Amino acid sequence: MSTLELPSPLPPSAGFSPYQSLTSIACFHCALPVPSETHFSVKFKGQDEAVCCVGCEAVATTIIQAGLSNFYVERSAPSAAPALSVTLGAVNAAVYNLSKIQSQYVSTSTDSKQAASLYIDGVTCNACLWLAEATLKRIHGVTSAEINYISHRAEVIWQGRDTTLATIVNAIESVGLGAMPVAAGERHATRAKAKRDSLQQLGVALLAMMQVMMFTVPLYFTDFDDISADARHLMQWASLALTLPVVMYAARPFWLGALRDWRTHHVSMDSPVALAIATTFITSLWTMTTGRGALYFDSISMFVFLLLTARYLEASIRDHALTRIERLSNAMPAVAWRLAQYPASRASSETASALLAQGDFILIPTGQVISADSTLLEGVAEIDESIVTGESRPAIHTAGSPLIGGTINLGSPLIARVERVGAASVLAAVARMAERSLGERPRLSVLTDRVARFVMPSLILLAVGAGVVWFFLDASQSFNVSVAVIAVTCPCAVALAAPLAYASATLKTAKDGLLISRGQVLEILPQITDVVFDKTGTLTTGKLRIKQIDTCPAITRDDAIAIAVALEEGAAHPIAKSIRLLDQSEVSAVVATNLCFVPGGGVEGEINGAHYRFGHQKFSCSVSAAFSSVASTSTSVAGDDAFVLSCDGRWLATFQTEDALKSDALETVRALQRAGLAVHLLSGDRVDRVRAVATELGIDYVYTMAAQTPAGKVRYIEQLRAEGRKVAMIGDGVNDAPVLGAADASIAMAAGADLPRLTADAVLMSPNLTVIVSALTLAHRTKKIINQNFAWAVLYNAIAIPLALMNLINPALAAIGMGTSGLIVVLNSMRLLRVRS
Amino acid sequence: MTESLWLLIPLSVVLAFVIGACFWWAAGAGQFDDLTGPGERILQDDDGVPDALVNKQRETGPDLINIKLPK
Repeated sequence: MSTLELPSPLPPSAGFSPYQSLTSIACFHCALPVPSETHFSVKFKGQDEAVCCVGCEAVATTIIQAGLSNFYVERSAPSAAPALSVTLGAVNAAVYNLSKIQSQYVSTSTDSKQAASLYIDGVTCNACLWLAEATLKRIHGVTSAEINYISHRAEVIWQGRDTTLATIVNAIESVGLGAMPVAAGERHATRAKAKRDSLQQLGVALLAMMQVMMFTVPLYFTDFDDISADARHLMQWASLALTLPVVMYAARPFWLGALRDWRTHHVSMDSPVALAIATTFITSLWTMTTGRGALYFDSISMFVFLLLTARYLEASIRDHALTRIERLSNAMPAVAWRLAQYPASRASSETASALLAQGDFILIPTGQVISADSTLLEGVAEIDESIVTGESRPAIHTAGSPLIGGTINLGSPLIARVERVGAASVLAAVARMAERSLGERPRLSVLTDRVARFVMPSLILLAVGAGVVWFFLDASQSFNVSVAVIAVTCPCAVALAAPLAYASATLKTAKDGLLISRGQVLEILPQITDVVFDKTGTLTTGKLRIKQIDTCPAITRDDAIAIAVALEEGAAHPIAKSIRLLDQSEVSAVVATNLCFVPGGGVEGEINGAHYRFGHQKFSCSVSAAFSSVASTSTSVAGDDAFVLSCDGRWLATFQTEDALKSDALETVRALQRAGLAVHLLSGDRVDRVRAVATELGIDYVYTMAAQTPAGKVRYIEQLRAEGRKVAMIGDGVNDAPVLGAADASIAMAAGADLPRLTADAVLMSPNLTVIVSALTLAHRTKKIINQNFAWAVLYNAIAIPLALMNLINPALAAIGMGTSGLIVVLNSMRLLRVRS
Repeated sequence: MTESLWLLIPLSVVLAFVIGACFWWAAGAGQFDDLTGPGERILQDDDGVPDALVNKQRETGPDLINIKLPK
């Protein structure tokens, strides 16, 4: 077991200090500007090239010395800056050899060969994948390494006695990329198999369709006498031979679907399709033997091909969404550093993340992924939460704040206490939610199945009816007309109209940072008339920020901060967090003793024998002339927004705080109002403060309700709904869960760690409120596209069925019509993926 | 003229089946799983590196990862 002492933040010479001035030279490896006081360089083709930091230098040197310099010639984008672990030296070697990790990621075959899958991270262009592959292949003991250039997934096989998983991961990291072992999953294999199967079926249908056309098109365009009866027969037999694989093999999904429908007494769109294939095929066989009637071989192969194409596209969209989820659930690192004797000792030992339990203390080194949902105990954290929020700017957390497993620590090393592991973690919840929204069928597509139940009998009725009518008009045509009606009707356009559009829209909003957890929210959003916002944590940041510090003449601002910091040492109250975020570079630290926290008041303690209090005005100094004079000059509407510092009952300083509006709150409210929606503000906060926010955002006072209890908020929403309005509630999701439940649609702010407890229809993962506006726009577009799809399906059938009834449709036209009308719906729905936000 | 059809049409059917079988095998064997990778691999083969060096690295083990980091 290697150990890792808690290091101090990186020395400035490591090149990561944000205070260094930068030159205009771009780093040879990562293309970031080179700091002016550093002198890192690598020799490339006999020339010295400047690099920005020790990490880039190590990586570039490794690549060039390994003889892979071609990477720098071939790449089409600059590399990602290497992970800080490269700079600090790889430390996670031993842990990959733990049996728990071995069993989770490595599969061993009988001849001592071992295999594992890795996600390659930090890939900026195809050359990076080539570099990773070349690196893997050069490791002594690796027998095969293949990277899929689309999924960035590497399958590595090696001789167990020659090398280890740890060596392999470190080798990838040494060339500036990341490698994440992927737990061997059945799901990945079955999905890959399903995709191959459908591609095989699609290919067979395509080939058969083209060849059958070769034989049938000449028959359509020549006079009956130009081709001898024998040749005609030959071509018919050839068509039959080519159609057989289509009916027997390529059309299998439809047969299986119809069989399932039969067993479960539940009609889906597979049944009409199967019926059409069966009728037309049997009719064609009958025609072959009797020599009278129409042949449908070309129609069968064509519409099987077109329908399979539509299915294939739909499956790709789902597959894409599932891959995103899978990557999310694999973001949890394999390795953790446990502080076994904390707080007595800070010695840490590496362990498998899977072995962590609630209450364990962990060390999170700089640049490492956080191994579990935890609470920050020490230090100010700078965390890259982009995997959960989509936001690339780092989030700042102070002691007492929750950290999300799977996010990356960008700042100094941190100590945290594990809160949740495994299935209870935030990432697992996100993955579950995304999976559920994909699996759940919106009401409208359930409705489509009801349509199918109605379509099937009416289709048969129509076909039989047409046959009977034609029997009296022209008995020889009677059967043909019946078959043509079945062949030309396209229920698949109806079947695909809604679900595919919803799948596309769900995937699109998830990419923007709004996770839809209940499918029907996309159906409801376009009907919304009123948007109700909660204030704290929704329109505002929910964090106190110190706006102003007024001090008495006896002490300076820095003294006041020093005393306040000392008194709030270790406290989790929001004011303590905001004080720790103040600039303390000029502050000389003092230590307070006998700290005592008074609920609803503040904190008191002793510094150098004097008794200090910090908290609400009434608690800190009940009578103070000085305080009132300062307070009267303050322009703030604040009352208990002010925190007062006192010494032995005398006023020392006042800390004015505010809960700042989110930077895009105004933009969001304006955009919603421009879209014709009534924007409401509903808050439990005091009237004057709610009014101030409403004024700033341009929300009408009529629509502003302050000082509401949760019950009052529910009543307000129910009243709106009673007036016939459709209400979307946007809140923090934890404190106002019942309020969210009362609205027609609800969106919760993902307050990070609270995510597993959220109950809303959709969760805003992104810190940008404007995503709500783009989601609304997208929901409107989705509705429009579904309407277009339905309109097209109805129009097509309204034209095609009468034509078939009049015996004006030939088999080729029927096939083209049925197939393309389904495909048009698919392509129209896929337009949703390309909407710009 | 029509006599040739008796040869050509069955031949085309047989051909179609052969081609179909080839495609079926290729798709099943995962030949279409990754359409970018193989092309990139050919283009980016490290011609600049003498084979001897590569072989030496194979024999001596993973030099790559033992690079000492500059202090």
